[in-house]
Amino acid sequence: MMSIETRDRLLTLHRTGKYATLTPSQSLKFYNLNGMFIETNESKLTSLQYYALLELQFFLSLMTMHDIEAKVILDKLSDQFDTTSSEKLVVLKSYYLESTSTQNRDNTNEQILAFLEGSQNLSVKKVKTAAATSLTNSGSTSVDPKDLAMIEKRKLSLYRGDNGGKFYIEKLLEYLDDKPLDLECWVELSDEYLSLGELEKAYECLMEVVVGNPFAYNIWSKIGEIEYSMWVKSGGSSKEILRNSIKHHLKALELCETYSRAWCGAFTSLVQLLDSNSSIKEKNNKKKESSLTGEEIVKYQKIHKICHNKLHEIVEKQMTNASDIDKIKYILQKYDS
Amino acid sequence: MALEVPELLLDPALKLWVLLPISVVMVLVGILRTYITMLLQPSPKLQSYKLVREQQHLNKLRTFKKNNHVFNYKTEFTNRLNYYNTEYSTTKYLKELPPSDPNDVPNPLTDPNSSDFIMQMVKSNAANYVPQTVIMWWVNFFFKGYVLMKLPFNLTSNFKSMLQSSINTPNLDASYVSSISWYFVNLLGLKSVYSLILNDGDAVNMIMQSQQQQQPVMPQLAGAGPTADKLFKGELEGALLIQFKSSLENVEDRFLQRFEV
Repeated sequence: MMSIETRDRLLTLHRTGKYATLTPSQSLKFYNLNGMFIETNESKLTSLQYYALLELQFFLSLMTMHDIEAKVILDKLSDQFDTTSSEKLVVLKSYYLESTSTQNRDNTNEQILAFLEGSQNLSVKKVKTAAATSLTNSGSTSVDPKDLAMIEKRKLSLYRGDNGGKFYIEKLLEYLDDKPLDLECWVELSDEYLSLGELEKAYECLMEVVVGNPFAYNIWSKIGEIEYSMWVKSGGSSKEILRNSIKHHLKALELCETYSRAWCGAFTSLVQLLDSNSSIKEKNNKKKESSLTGEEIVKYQKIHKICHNKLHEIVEKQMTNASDIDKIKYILQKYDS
Repeated sequence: MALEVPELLLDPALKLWVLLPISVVMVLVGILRTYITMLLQPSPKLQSYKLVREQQHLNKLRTFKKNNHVFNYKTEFTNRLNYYNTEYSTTKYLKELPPSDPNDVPNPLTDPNSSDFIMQMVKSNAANYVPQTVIMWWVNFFFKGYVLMKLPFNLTSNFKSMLQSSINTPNLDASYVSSISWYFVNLLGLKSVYSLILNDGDAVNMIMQSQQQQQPVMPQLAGAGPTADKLFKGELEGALLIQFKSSLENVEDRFLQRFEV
């Protein structure tokens, strides 16, 4: 009998794209599970579910070095769909080419870009021919290769090259001018700016994301982290930035109280804020920045205590994964003393 | 005072030659219509990236209006608002330039996209109306005025109009069902039968939807409704009226309220 829970779990893994962040052992586990699930339940799945799981199996096969199986899945899909009418199939083929290429990265990317552009031109030609020869005069002959949105986004990922850089940022900006609601790309752009040390621009990109999705607690926390970096970059002079960082981390915790990264971020920023407030350097600081009032200090101390206790609780009760716990231990060790 | 009507003696052959054929024909036609409708469904068309761009920018402005509380300071909000005001007041993001004469309304019938849509609407309507008209004519022509069956439970007289259409007998017990009423009962109540046969929720819903003649929301045709530049203008005017209030205000107090023991 088909387990609906397993099916839904696998479909969620596919829909959310979480499979891309699995560890190798987890990937192998899901590769085996999904393969077996498709084999035993093929007749019970709807066509949409079946092809979604097949796509998931394709990616898991590539990630676990099962190239032959990936090719078999690609052939199965090619039997059903046509590359001139299915953008997704073109994109999947490009992933296969990328994973199995024996050449260096630049050459591979060039080849895949040529393949994608060729496929785009073929599809456009097919649509135009169909419109021109249609008896009912249906369809449009004014089709642009850019209309194939999925291929356009895949091309964008290939411009990244080895190190990203300014060229990639230009391409991302061009793409975002056409698709301003693609929040994934805004996060990518923010990461690129971060790698170049342009913190203000990275901050603005993440603000675009929270405007689009105000419940994205991880992004709220990331904004807090960027503000913390701004504070570090400014030489620890502006207390206002640190307070904003705390606010953003607390907002993330308001939305998701189990997000350990936000607890760490809030704790670190609070330690710095309270420390800078009480340091002697502060008293000698020539900049007349408003220092914390007594009431504010009490409030921040209370929040600091809550964060501190929570981080200890997370470590003691193993409330997150091992890698996160190691990081929390490091932070606690660093700031507890 | 209404006269007591004695029990009607119904010919058992009615069940075999009228009730059963109407039910079977209704089920078969319903299934056939599903597959015809599926065949008539147009293949998904490519959307022009310029149209997607225009719609996404419009939605971006709407989302900004809705979620303006995410900004920490009012200056952040007003800076963005000023930027949108300058950017979206131009024609940069429009798919097509607005007509030079504001009174010039484009003819929807000359727009190729509208003709596609109208054609599709005609096809799907034909697939729905033609079989229903034919069956109704068939039931009316052959079985008009037939009393088919008696329901095994009593009903109030309110059900007479539903169950006894085409037979004008005011005193007949409401639990007797006429042929044309049986047709309507079938039309509206075969969902569970379709779901048994087709084993596919989407297809069943499609049949029920088409039988009950619920039309989907129509996309905007050329010439109908405001143009994109007016939509942008309207959204910008609305944005200027927003009273800014940050959701980060007092977040520390809310945090303490929630987590302080």
